[in-house]
Amino acid sequence: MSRHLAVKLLSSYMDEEVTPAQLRLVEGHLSACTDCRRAIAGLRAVAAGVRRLEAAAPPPTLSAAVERRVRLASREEPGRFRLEDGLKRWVGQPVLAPAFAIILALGAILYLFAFGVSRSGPHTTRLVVAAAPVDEDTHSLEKPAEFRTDSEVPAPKTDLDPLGAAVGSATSEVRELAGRRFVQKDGIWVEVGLEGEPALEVLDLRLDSVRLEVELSAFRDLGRVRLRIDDRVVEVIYAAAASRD
Amino acid sequence: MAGPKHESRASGTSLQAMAVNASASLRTREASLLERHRQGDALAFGELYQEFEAMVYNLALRMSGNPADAEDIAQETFIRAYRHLKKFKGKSSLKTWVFRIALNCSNTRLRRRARRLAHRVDDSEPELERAADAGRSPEERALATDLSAAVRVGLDHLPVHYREAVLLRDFEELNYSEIAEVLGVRIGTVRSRIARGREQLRQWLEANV
Repeated sequence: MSRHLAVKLLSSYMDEEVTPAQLRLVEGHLSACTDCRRAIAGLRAVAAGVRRLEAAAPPPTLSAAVERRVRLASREEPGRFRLEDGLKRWVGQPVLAPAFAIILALGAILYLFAFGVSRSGPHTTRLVVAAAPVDEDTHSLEKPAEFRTDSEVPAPKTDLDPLGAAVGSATSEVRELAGRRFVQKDGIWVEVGLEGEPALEVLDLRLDSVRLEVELSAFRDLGRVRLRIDDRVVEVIYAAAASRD
Repeated sequence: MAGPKHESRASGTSLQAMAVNASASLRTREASLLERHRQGDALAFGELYQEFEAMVYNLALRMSGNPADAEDIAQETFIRAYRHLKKFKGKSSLKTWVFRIALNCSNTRLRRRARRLAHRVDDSEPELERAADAGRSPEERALATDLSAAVRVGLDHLPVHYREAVLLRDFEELNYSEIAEVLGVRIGTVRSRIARGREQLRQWLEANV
């Protein structure tokens, strides 16, 4: 046989994930080609090896830990301030979603002027990127969100939850702008109530209204909000992420 | 030449009908579980936990190669599932949804481990590969003479996206369309990742066992 079958086709054939035409092709070829028979035998041995891996019993401490954390989480639910619910009530209407985006964009512009853009002087800077799109069911990012910093500072003490949200630690002063409150966390200004899960709050709107994606980022002393509403993109540059030495 | 699975094609129609029925019944059960959870039935989440505990723990274990990490990943997976279950829209099955959260948690953990190691060691080995192998002692590596142990070690040497595809197919026995749901990629990508993952694992085993 001059041409052998691709590993991808052999592997799909093993899994019965081929079209009838591919099935005929593979079976016809295998009956005449020793090399491909050997190749598929190798793949089958690997798959069987993985299949034979023994399932381990979860440690007994796991269920107790999950139960404890679920209990804590359920206790937090009723009394917790649910900004997302409030936002949904106001912005959940499709017709209001673009208006909300514009308000948010204007807010961000005001934010730029209120806090000022510092382009000089020593400062450390941090970058947060919460990348869209986010899967509706899992609320997880379809590609990994990344944290990057400039070379002067170590990686921020933040982590990602499945919502791609930045979770910071220390808080400092609170500033108010157009009725909205902002707090500086790890050198990044974020809106109060959104500091735990900024992506969630906005991305949730997309689920009940029009498609709305948000990318939050901050680089050096500039931040950026990019809103995508259906096919339109609103991008706003604003001051953020400057924590001075 | 037909593969073992293809030999049973004669009874394919009845098997397909059984699979469709089983899937419909599973969806009904999931819908009822979700409804009970939304109504505040605390036992509903317990049932979900019981159903997926072993699967999630084992997937996390195979992804991380480390029982302590696997326990943390499984814990985090269920907490996230609990927090977001009320918003689950049922576009995928509950199983693929939970698996997807578990893989996100695993990957976050692997990235964090790789970052930690990157600060300590500076060599050209890919970080995630090194991270996956980091929890292994020389004794554990020696155990790779046993085939199952070798497969486990070999899996740890696969790039993460091949490892997760191979595990979902060959360990969790999901079909391609379920794997596409879990990974959020197209079936063609699933097909490629499984094939490349198996082939790389085969080559690794050939070179190391």
